[in-house]
Amino acid sequence: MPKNPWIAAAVLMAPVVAFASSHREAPNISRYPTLDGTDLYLFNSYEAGRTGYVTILANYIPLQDPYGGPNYFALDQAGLYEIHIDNTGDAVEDLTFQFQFTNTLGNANAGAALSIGPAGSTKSVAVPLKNIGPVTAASQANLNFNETYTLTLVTGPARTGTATAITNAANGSSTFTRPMDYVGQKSFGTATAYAAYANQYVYSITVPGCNSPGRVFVGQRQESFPVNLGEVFDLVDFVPIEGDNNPVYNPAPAAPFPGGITQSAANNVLANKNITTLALELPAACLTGSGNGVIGAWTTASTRQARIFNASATFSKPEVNGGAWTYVSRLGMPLVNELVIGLPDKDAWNSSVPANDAYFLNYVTNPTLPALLNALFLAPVNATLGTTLTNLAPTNFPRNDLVTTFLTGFPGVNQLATVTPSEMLRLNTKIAAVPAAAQNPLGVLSGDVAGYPNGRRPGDDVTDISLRVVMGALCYPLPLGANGAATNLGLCTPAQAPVGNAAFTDGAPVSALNFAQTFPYLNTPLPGSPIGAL
Amino acid sequence: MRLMKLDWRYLAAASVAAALAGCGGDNETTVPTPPPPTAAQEAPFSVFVNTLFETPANGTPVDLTNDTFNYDVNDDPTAFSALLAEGTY
Repeated sequence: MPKNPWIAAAVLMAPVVAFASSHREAPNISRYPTLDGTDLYLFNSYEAGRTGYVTILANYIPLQDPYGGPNYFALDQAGLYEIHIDNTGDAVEDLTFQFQFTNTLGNANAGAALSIGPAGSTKSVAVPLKNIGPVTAASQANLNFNETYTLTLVTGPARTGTATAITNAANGSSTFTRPMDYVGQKSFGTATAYAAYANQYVYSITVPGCNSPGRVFVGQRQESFPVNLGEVFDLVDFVPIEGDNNPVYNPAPAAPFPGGITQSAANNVLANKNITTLALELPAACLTGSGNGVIGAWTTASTRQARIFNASATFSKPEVNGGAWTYVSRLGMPLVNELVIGLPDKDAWNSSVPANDAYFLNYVTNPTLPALLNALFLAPVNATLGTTLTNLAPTNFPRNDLVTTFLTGFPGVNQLATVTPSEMLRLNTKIAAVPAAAQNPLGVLSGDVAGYPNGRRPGDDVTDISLRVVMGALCYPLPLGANGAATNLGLCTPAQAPVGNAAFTDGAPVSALNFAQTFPYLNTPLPGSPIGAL
Repeated sequence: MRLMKLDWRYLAAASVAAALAGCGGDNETTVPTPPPPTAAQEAPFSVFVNTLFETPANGTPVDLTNDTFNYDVNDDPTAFSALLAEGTY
């Protein structure tokens, strides 16, 4: 490890890069979609009346087609889903929230059955569906499948700390229910009706050691991550610089880039997908401990290390699992494992912990994405603008601008009291939340310090922010001073980032106003039917 | 990655020693041919799995990077019946 702390920091990982958050991002986890973490959000609650609370949303099971019946998208009973919080800065969790799920069938786990056959000679035969009639907020009797979960708080390291059950504040129960996925409108009614059904499963919770209750919800939501996914991974099959004077993404007097992509909801190819969200809202004071008010968070999914398939599989025992919990999915800052970590190490990333991020050193100090973009677009840029640029990629190595953004946090903004370079999503709980209508999707780059990379809100366009940062946006002054005065961060210079002031974008816009403004913030999922509802 | 490393070479050596003890024959001066070096590196998969299942959930997972296995039960569908009978989902 280099003695220079900045170089040491650089050694540890730099998320950056844009595009598809964390959907099927690594070879191994793509085999286990129920354990695949896709996005993590961490922000000071901006729901009215919730000042002083922090919301954490962890999304799992990517690319859900709403019509994916008849089994839809239950979470993995053999999995351990965790949200880790570091409030001291040593890159080891101080608090961990653990979710574990249990599935049961209707009819006392025998499965709903019908009497089939001629009168007097019928046979009771189990039905093949998860619901056998309409389900409403008032009645769930027609559900033939129930998913429950427990929520545990571990204080100290996740595997050796003290575990205590989190309970329902209303009745003391330690078992919570997850609503069934939105099968369709014939089963659950309109989106309003489904929302009424699902909202019953937002629980007020008693958290050990916490004087005020929090809230929890687990359930299907509409995919919250907008991205031009297919074209991005097809060698960026568009010109990724704003092509007009969009007031948010490239406000005048900045020049539009000729032929550049423009903002359109049609560029978000995930708009017709659903996702599964594990949502927590907790008093900030219960998360920050004795630290400086900044917390770092990441989510993981684990399975027991050994799995034996049952040659005579049953609903209750298709397999047996044993051995130690083993991480198979990890997600803090968005997009890290997609385009920063090299293909040979993506699986290693998912099984690693922040304290060991030094292993990924070279991916941070010498990120490949800028070089790839340079290879793809240097000639077209010069041809379009009539310039003679020799390189689009920043040349400030090691990339301390990325280290600050993704590994250490910004001093005085979202840096923990102790700085241990490591990849996690960092939030200053003392920076006041900004109401949805006033949020800027470009977060800190636009002067909105309540947004990404100070935590992450649903309305933050992390793809565009990351693209711009990786191409050198922090080498230019940002509107972070009084009244938006330009401020030089001193991390690098414009000369080192020839296109760092360009309005990079994937053309898939997002806004906080696209989402609900109450917990759990993410929108009611899309129905699986009828066809015209999508 | 805080991973535990099991020394399967020790386990394999013990197995070889046990096998040798049982097939000494009449000629005590016979020196058996040692197994190929690669064989000594391989862990019997059935033993490995049974041992792995004994690791507590909050224990340390095993680093498999440099391990190779002797898949000794590939043709035995009942090899892990005991684990299936006792284990949980």
